[in-house]
Amino acid sequence: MAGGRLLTTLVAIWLCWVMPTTVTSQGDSHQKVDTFFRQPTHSNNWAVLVCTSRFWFNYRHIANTLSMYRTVKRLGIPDSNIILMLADDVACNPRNKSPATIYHHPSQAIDLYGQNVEVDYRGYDVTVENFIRLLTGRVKPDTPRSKRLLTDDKSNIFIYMTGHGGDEFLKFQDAEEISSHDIADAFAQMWEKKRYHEILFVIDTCQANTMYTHFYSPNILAMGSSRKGENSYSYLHDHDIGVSVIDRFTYFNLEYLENVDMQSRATFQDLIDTYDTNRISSHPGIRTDLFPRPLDQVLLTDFLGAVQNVELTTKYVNLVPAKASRVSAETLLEPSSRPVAKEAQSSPPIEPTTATTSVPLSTLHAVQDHMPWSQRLAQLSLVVGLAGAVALSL
Amino acid sequence: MTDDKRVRQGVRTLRVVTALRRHINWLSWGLLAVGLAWLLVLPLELYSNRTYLSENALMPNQARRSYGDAQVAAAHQHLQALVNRHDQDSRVAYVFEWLQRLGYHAETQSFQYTQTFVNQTWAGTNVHGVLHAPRADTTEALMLVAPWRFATDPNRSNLSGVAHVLALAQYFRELNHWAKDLILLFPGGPPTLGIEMWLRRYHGEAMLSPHQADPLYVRSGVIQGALTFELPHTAAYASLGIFHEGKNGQLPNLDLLNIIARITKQENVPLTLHHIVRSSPAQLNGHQRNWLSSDNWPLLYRHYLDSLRTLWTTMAAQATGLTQGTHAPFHRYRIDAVTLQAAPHPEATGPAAPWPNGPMAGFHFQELGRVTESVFRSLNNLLEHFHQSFFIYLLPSPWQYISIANFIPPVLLMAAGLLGAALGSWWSVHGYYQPPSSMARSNPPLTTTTKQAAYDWWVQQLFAQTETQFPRRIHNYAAFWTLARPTLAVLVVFHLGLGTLLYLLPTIVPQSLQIVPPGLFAHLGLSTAEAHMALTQGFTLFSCLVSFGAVRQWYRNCYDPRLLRMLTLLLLMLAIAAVSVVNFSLALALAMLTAVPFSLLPTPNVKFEHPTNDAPAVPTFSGGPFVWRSVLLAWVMAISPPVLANTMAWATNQTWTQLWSGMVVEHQLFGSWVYPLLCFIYWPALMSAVLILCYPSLRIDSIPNALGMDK
Repeated sequence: MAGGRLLTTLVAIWLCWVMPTTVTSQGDSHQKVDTFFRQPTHSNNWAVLVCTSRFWFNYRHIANTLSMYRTVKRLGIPDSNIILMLADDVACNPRNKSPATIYHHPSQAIDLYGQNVEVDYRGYDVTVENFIRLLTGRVKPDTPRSKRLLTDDKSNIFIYMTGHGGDEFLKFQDAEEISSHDIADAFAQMWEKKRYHEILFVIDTCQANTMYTHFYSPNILAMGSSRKGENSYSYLHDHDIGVSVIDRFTYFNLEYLENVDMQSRATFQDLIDTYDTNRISSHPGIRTDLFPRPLDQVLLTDFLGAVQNVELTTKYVNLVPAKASRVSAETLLEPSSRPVAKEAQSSPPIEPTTATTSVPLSTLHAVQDHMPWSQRLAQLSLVVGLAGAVALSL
Repeated sequence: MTDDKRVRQGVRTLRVVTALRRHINWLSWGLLAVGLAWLLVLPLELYSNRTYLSENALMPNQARRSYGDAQVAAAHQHLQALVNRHDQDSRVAYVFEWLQRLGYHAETQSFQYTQTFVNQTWAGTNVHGVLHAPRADTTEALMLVAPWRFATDPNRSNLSGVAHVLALAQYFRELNHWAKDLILLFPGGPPTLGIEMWLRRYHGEAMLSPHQADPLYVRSGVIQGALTFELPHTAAYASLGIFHEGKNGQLPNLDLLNIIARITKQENVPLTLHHIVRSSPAQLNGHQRNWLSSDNWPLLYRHYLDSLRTLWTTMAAQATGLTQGTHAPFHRYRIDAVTLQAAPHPEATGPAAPWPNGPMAGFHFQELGRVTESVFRSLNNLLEHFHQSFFIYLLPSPWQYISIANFIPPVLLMAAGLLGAALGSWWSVHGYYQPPSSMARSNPPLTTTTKQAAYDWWVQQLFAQTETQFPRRIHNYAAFWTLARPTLAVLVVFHLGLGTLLYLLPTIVPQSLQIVPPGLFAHLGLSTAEAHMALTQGFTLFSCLVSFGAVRQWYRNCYDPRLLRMLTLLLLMLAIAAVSVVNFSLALALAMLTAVPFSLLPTPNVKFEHPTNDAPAVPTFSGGPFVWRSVLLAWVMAISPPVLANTMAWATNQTWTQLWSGMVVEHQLFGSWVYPLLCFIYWPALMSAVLILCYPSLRIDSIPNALGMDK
């Protein structure tokens, strides 16, 4: 029994640890460089999740927002970095047949309102003015920290909005609306004030794609659920509660995101590739022209998670001056040209001002794979020793 | 603007006005004809729109309903228990006890109401129970009403309705999703009166002396919707009829009917308006609607007839405002309410059975319970108030509506026709004093060859015309006033005075029965309504005679039937136009009754013996041939209120005294406008018509003297 377990452990360790290093060839070196330089350049993550709809029949908008809240929290963004705005409290609505719960699926498997939900702006706090003040940081001095967006020029911000909208506007509550110009100008001010590094703007509403048309500040990736003239539809209906519980665009995003964890290397391109306009019943839009990085190099966790990039490694990276290895330096340019071809179908070509070229070539260093056999043997013996210790202890 | 331009404009205007003056009668008759023909367009399938749910919050058919066998069994138990109790008091006690047992806050309210006009006292006991919403702030409420008897037919018992509501009371108590309180009301006495007394007390209206009703202590919030059930005591129902018209043209919000239509469709319960069974489907599909294909014509024809019948019935109900059900009093308190009345299934025999043998035709408690549960779940979602959808509409079927923009034109056209006829009268009066201008028809003399010369000629003519027609405005106003005073006096003093008297009669008559002519009416064996009618006719006759006398003796110099005709037509026109936006059906009834005969009233023709500009005009008048006037007089008599009351009584299988006293009671108790409209508009207008027809001539030669004009 113990022997079998030991054998399995050994094989597993060999497969996971030793195997990759043995099959590494010289040609993969540029990929390593790539990975090295594509380490996230931001240092903190924030999320602003906004439901702008009131009333019981808009239950699904609250569920949309809470589902996103659950996802970003699961992926590591702490409550202190999440601003959650809910315009209504359907959990405590007397019409709610299951009091103090909010579900996004008729199976009622996950109670979105179950534990530790921190709503920062609720009910009539959710106004256009408060939202713009929050983004631009123009809050009153007595505003508590939980109601402030305390970002800096190293912050990646995920902004998710849902509600009832139209051509270039989104309704707040029942009385006012925010226009795409308002949001674009708020982002511009944020950029001027160095309040963000990158923004992911996602909106699920009717004619959602019109909401990001006026953005003009750099480093913004924007996604919407439907084209101009299109409605965004609800997806699942709970006949027990008597309302629709989630919208299509949000649902199909979540369907993918549920399989994403903190360590995931899934990119936005992967997510977008799963979009099926037949199931979503509208045409989601992605605006990338303000965003310098190609989508297949943008990790979902860059925005939706707060991953601590701590990696334990026994390898070391040997940096040599670029002059010594000109060929490797040239290959560095490849990643910037490759995605252009790939992106051409879905979005306008990316301008060649990508992150890689902004780094001076003179400072680039080629990396060589360099692991002597002696070290590899020592490593193996360490593993065997450890495994033996484990087996003995069992 | 230069003078030239102004003159040219003046010439153009003058030409138009002259043409209008010449053809005004034909124009007004044309407008009337178009208005009447338009009415026949209303039932066309193409002309109406499909109803749609306007308020997103309502969400009908979105929730699973679970009214089931247990509730049906409870309903049958209650029904049996109620049938076994034979007197009203023990039944009321039963309901009260059950409400208390179920945890409702229950209360009884006794009332007594004496109606002086019909000299009758009604008494009864209302029972109501309030279920406070478990998690809401209890500022809003929904109502479920079951009267003990049918409001429209007091001989039919509604024990099934009471049992149905009691079973629902039990079931609703178990649900936890109420955002509004539920009020269940079982009105006693005559159902509409019981409701009215209850509503008055609920809304804190001060009770007048004859109204005695206990105050209500068990209360709730603002009532946002009410549903009344009237179910005959039979084994199965064929269809569910909606009755929705209130007093004075008030209707519930269309969304209330929309959710009922959608929910009954979901539950496979046939729905009708006023029990009008259609021979064609109420909703035609895209193919069936295509009137270009001759295959569809029989179907479209049947659809048209069904819609016509539905419109006619519902509009008649809206116009008269006679009580159609217990929902009617609610509308006055801004509560959207309808009565759902089940029609017995023709194949159903015997009383209701909880577990019928074999498949049952029609439907019963099970389907009704599900419909009610769904409707209340939907109403429970309502926010604040019904406000999104239409409050003014016509329904050719429960699935189609005609909006006010589409149905108001015919009535307004008829009003415009009357206005044209009034203008014709006025111009005819005006034309007498000024020799008619032959200008519009004449052309510049042949000698003028150049354009400029022709133009100068026109300008000359225009100034000449203006000189003679409008010498001094003040003088003409004074002339009009001198001329109009006697006519106005006839209209205002005698006819509107009569109206006031008629209006006050219902309150005077009971006293007069006891005091003024002691025992006279009783001696003659007349009921109050009959006495009222006799007095009304007496007053009318008296007033007519006084008018005639006054016209002959006092105002002989200045009385002008054309002015009376004009003022009468204006009065009618104003009444029709004003009422049409509130109670379209009533305005339409008024227009259909009066427009044609009144526009045909003779305008005495003015004929000038010497139609030249030099000699003074010597006009003669004629009121049309005697036979024609007799025909019109008969027509006017045929649409007089007593004849109408008799006709309607014959049509609705009631006695005219019932109708007559019903109308007065409707006014006194529910504030219906039919009686005041009759007193202040209809009857005076008819009297003026009679006067015009009987006394069409005037002494024209003395008028210029009266005006101080030179001959």
